[in-house]
Amino acid sequence: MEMELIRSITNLSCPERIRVLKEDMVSEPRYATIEQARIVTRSYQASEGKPRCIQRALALKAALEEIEIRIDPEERIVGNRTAGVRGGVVFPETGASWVDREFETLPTRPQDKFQVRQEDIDEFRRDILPYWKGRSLEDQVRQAVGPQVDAIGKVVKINQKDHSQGHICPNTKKWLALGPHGIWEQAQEHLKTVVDEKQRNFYKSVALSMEGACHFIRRYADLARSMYEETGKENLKEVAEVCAKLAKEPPETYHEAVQASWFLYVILQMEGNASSFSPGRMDQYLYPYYENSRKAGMTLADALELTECLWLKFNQLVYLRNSNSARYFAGFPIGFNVALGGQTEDGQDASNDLSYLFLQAQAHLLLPQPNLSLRMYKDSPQELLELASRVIGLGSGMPQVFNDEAVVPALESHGVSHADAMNYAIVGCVELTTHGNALAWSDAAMFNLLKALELTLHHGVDQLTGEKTGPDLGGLDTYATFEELEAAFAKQIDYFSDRMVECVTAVEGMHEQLLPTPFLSAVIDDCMSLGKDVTQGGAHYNFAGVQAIQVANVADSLAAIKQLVYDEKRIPAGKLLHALKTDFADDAVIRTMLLNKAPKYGNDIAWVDDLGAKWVNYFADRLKQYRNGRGGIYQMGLYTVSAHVPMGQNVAASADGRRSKDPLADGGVSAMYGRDTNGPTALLQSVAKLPFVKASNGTLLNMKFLPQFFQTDMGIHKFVNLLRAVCRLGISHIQFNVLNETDLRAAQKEPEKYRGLTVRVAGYTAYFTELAPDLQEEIIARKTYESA
Amino acid sequence: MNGTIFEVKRFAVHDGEGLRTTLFLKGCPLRCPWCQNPEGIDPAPALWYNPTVCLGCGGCAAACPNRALTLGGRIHVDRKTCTRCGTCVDRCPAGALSLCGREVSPRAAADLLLRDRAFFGTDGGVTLSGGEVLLQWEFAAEVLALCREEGVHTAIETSMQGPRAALETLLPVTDQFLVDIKLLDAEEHRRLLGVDNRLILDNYRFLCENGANVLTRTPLIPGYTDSENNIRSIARFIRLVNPEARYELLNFNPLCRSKYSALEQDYPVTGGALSPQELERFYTILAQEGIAHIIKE
Repeated sequence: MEMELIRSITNLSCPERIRVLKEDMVSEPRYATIEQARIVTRSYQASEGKPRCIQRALALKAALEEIEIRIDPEERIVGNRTAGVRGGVVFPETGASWVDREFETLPTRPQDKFQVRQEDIDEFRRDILPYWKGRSLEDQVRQAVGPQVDAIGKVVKINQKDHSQGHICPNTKKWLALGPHGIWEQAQEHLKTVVDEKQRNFYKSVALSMEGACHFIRRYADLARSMYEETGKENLKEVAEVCAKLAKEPPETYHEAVQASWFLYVILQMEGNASSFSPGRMDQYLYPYYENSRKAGMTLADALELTECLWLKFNQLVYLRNSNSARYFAGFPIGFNVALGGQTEDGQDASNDLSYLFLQAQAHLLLPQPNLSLRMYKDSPQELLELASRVIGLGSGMPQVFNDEAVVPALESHGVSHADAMNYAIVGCVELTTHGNALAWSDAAMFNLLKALELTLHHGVDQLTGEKTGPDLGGLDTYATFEELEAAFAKQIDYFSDRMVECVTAVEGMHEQLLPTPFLSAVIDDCMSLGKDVTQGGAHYNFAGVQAIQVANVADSLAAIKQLVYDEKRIPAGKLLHALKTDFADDAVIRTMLLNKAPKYGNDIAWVDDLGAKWVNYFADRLKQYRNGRGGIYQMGLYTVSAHVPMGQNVAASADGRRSKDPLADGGVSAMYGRDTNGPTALLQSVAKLPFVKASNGTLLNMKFLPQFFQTDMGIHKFVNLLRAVCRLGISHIQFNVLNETDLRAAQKEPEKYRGLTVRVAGYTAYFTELAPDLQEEIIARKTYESA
Repeated sequence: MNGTIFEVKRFAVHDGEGLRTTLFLKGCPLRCPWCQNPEGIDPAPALWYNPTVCLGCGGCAAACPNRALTLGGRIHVDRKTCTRCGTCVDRCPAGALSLCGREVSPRAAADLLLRDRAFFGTDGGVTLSGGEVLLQWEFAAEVLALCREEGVHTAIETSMQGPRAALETLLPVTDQFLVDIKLLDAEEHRRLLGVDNRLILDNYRFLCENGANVLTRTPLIPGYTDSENNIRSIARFIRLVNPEARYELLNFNPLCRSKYSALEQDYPVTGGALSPQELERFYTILAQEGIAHIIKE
């Protein structure tokens, strides 16, 4: 990239239109809405007896034709699945019972609140709920495997029980090349020759949903046209022209391609209401359209404004989860994950103007969506990493950084072709995927290894309930050696893995039966050529992902037991068991020893880190023995998003000194908070010992930085050096929390959780939490120090 | 020859180019009132006690073979009987007791420094600091030679208060010298720091004349070094010695006040860091004195 072009991009200011639209968006209250539920229920009632995929397509088509649409007079990119912005869509096909239970509490629940209208609640209970009782995914799953799911619930959380599986990166390139009309024609072509009834139904369902899509886009053209005639606003005229064209043919300009992409994601959400349909590598597939428009005279400022219009759109769709799920995935993440940079299939640098424009858009908006991800590799351009570092320093936590050097080999070792691995994208938060040809079922389950260890130490008895939920393989009082304990731990993991896979298979089967997704299947290869829905295994890649949770607590607990109980014999087994059972009520000294006298993961101490790596390896290898419901393999992930809090509530006191029900380590591969006291490089060296090649479902590492680090050119330069080291170390993901005042206030209140937070100045280093209050104030005021 | 160290700072971003690991050597011949690392002044290891995490369990007093510890609300250490054997440190469940300073071999020190090699890249490396590096120059030279053998960039932070032989030995194994000139007036230097600066300025000339890569730095300490006259004199001096000198003013950092309170000592410097305007005033002076390369963050 030419420096001059980069400078022109980074000098662009945030357009006035964007400021107005952003203000409109964030000031509008967020409501739960039953409009689509009403339409869909009516459609299902009218189509009883038809094959499920046809019923689903008809319901989607009806919604696309009838749902109320709205355009903000300032908009240039239009489309939403609700009339209001950020509406919480009630989606009875997957879950109606929980909505019934929780409807009134939506405005007051602790996480992810929505306003409600009483008339909606009444109508829902009168006209919608009765039809779905016993029919929804949620109820069917409960009838089929409810007791089995509950029996393992404290160790394994089975997901996708009351909503569609998302975490999918569609083939947007194909959608842009053909448009809905072109895909409709493809389906018709297949119908001319295909005789198999199931396949015919599939193609018919695709055609029906594409008819709905064309209609939906045309409705926006008509609305924009009439609004233009009323107001004379040029942007509305432009919108009307763009949409009118897209309703019948593929896009050619940047504006058209951005608009077409957005319609794809809106319609996917209307069909699936799932956590995350991700655009993936937008800077790659939008580039030809951008280039066309640039040649035809589009300015950089115009390209940025269109990009920022889309960025705002990514924030207008949110995802209504049940209250329990909202604790695991807080902040209604909907995971419009956009990847930028990285390499092409043949290993060339892939970054282009759009990569820089995307970063600049993030710098202007600093909103939670899109979930912006930088792909980094060993030869990433210095200027791209520098701009990304500056944007990271602004504190939105983005872009997060993925490392091709770790991700590509991980995918390849799980059966992904080299070309597909090089073209990987990210879905949801941090889950890895190929582009446009996978149903990776990334969130099949979360496996709480620390809970399995608790059962291993206590004869299979859950220390929170006193119930025996796992096999009695012995206890810390009976294992003569550390090796015996480890052997029992392995068996405990096996026991729950077997049961987990049975449940996941059952859930997948329910999705196949109840939730075929023809519109999505049309943009996932090889569904169209096979005539097979994604839920039936029509995708080229069929994975299922399970998260191993949580490596830091497992490593710290096992290290403390090994060193203090078995090697040094400083704590007798009986005493430790008593302390854990009683949550250290009368054992302050034992807890203090567990915390201080055994080394902790995250400090570059090989034998502790190796313990973590060993059990992550064990779990990954165990997963390899199973096949999922679509015939693909299982793969392991190492991330929790916000689940470290509720998953911690399931675990009694642990040998790492963690109190009963306290949160686990955050993120995924991070150290337990406050216990990585040797600084960021030591943490990274510890993390690098984990087998990233086996964590192909995705990993998550959080690091905290003070904002001062990013305020000088030298700081940016050194931060890029740090990124390059992460790249060399083969860590597959890292994201940076740049601490703000609130965070530092929290550190003052709970210093034990922030012990590793260091302040750096020349010839001197200090821990933030050990500074006197007045000095902490100086740092909070951001007066002086460049720090990390 | 073994050395005594008191801290390893990984991910050091202010002790030379790039990302570095800094090793702090114990013992210093100067007595700067504003010292940032007071725990580094005494060449011998010391027992540190942190009352805020102490459980008061008394395990340390019971374990001490010399009965140097007594319990009474907090732990009291009889510094005369304490042999710094570390028994109490091992025994303490809370980490309230620790030894500041330990003896290591040059190989062990180099291994500590090289742990973060993956981060050094092309411009980072290792830095020795203190205390005063020149007080343990034979050890320092061995450590740096070992790092050099591994192709790693080496730097030292020094006041240059040390024998010429030390610099002669360090010169071939040191890629960069970060040297402090704190005060130019010899009498003022003696009055405040305990020794005059003749040796320091001589050594400075020696380094510059022998082709060392030198970055000259002056810490701006309110009430001590931050007079216009002092900065102007230093600038004149270094320009005279080396017209191409690179010069950096280090803004005052009051964070070390916390260390003084842990040592139950008063910190004599009042006031905080200099404002950007005050810094700018000094930069103007440097420009007036013809400093070719003013290093700013």
